[in-house]
Amino acid sequence: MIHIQHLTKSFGKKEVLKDIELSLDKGMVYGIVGINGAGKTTLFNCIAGLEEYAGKIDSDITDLKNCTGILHTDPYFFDMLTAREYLTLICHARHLQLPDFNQKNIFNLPLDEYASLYSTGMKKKLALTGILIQQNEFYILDEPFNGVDIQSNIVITKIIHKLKSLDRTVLISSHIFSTLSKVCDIIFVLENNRIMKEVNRGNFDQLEADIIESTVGKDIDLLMQ
Amino acid sequence: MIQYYFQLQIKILSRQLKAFGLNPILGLIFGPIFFVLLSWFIFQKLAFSEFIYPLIPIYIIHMSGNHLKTRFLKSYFSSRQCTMISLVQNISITVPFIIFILYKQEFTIAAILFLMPIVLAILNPVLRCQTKIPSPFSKLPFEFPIGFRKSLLIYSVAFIILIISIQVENFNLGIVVLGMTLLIPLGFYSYIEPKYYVMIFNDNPSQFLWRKIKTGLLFSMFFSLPVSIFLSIWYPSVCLIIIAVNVIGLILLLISIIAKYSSYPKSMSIVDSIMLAISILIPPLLLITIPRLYKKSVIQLKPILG
Repeated sequence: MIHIQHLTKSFGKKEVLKDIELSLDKGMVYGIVGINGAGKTTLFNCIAGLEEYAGKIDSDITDLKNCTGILHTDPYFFDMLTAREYLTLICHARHLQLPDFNQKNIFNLPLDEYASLYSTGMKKKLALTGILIQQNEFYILDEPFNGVDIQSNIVITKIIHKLKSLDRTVLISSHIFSTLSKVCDIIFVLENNRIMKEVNRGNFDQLEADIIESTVGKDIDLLMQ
Repeated sequence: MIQYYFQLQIKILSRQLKAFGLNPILGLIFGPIFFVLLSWFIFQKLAFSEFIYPLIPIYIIHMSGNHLKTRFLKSYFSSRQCTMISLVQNISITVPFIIFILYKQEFTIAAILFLMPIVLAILNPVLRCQTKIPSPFSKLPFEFPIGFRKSLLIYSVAFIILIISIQVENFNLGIVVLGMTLLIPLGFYSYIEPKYYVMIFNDNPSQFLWRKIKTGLLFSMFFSLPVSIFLSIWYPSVCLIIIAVNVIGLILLLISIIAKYSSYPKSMSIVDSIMLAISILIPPLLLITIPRLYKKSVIQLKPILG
């Protein structure tokens, strides 16, 4: 279990996350929804140790940082570094034996080309391949479905189900509610810098209806008048 | 449109100076003074300065471009305008150096350097094409595989100079090449990588630093060692000079690695940069500076690596 207690993050005077409390169990898939700028990515970066924060993260996973794989919305790749070299770096960093990358290349990426020249979707697939090769215990996936083709969306969905069956913990953000509702067990709603709701699978339809009602409906009416 | 592009470049430079802790107006006043002093120092104190000095602008030009910048320029400007932008940028980098070289009455070198902006404006986009350049350092990414690919042109020039130095039996020229092979990797550590590329390491800060230092020193010798052996065979009487140049080069590499992480993820502050420069000029001070930078690096890396 990963237990996040009173996590607070500010950028200067601006408080981005306030007193976040989350409990994440093994073998569960969690989703986070919130408007753009709600602080989802900042929360992910805090949990992954990429941002400093106030509060506490406890876990029964020994050495949580080195068992965490984070997939960023827009993964960064160095100029003039091939995808194969990127995966080599990922493995060296975690002291892992180099696997046969061709065998692990389920997205059929051109591994000997410069990763920085990949399309948005290919970059995401490469970064995802990297964290899967690391065989982490905890996966943070920030918008994993964005920018990737339909076929890969299906593959990513299957991967998330597989991670769940392997007793891994997965935390996902997505702006596509249908994909989140397909893979998640619980969805958290991040609003006004706090976790405002925790919704179980049985109430996802109601959550979607609430989101539509509270945001889209009114705006469209105003626009179309 | 090109004019506006350059206006923006000046704005960016001014913001970078501010971020570095320097008032842009003061930078405008002290920048040229600092440049003249540094140039004077290089010619006064460094052996073979007439060869080393012109390599500085060539290296800066070569390292200044990347494919994202090229892609950005290509999407907004015609290819003729892109070449013009490269040319203007390259010329503005080389002109101060040319003026100083002319002042030192090295007319041939000034003429060669005058041609370099044109050559590099044409060559750099070719070298930055999408075709993968094989690298002998692929097994241990990321600094050296990338640095090698970006510096291929400079390495090629170095080895041509080495052959010339043997042919004309000029040891000094050979030492310049050795210096080049040791100095080029310093630039590989100038780029501050995103935190993700530090966080992924299953190391504590000390292990991480030693890993970086070990890889850096080992790979740096990949080029300097053959050159050293070559020079030692040709000029056995000056082996000590060759060893000394190697030791200095490797110490500088070590410094550049720990200096980078001593302020990570920010770039080095102006105070730290000045202190480091003073320490390099007065080497005994390095006995204080190196442990200090190492300790600072450990502190800076601790929140990310744990």
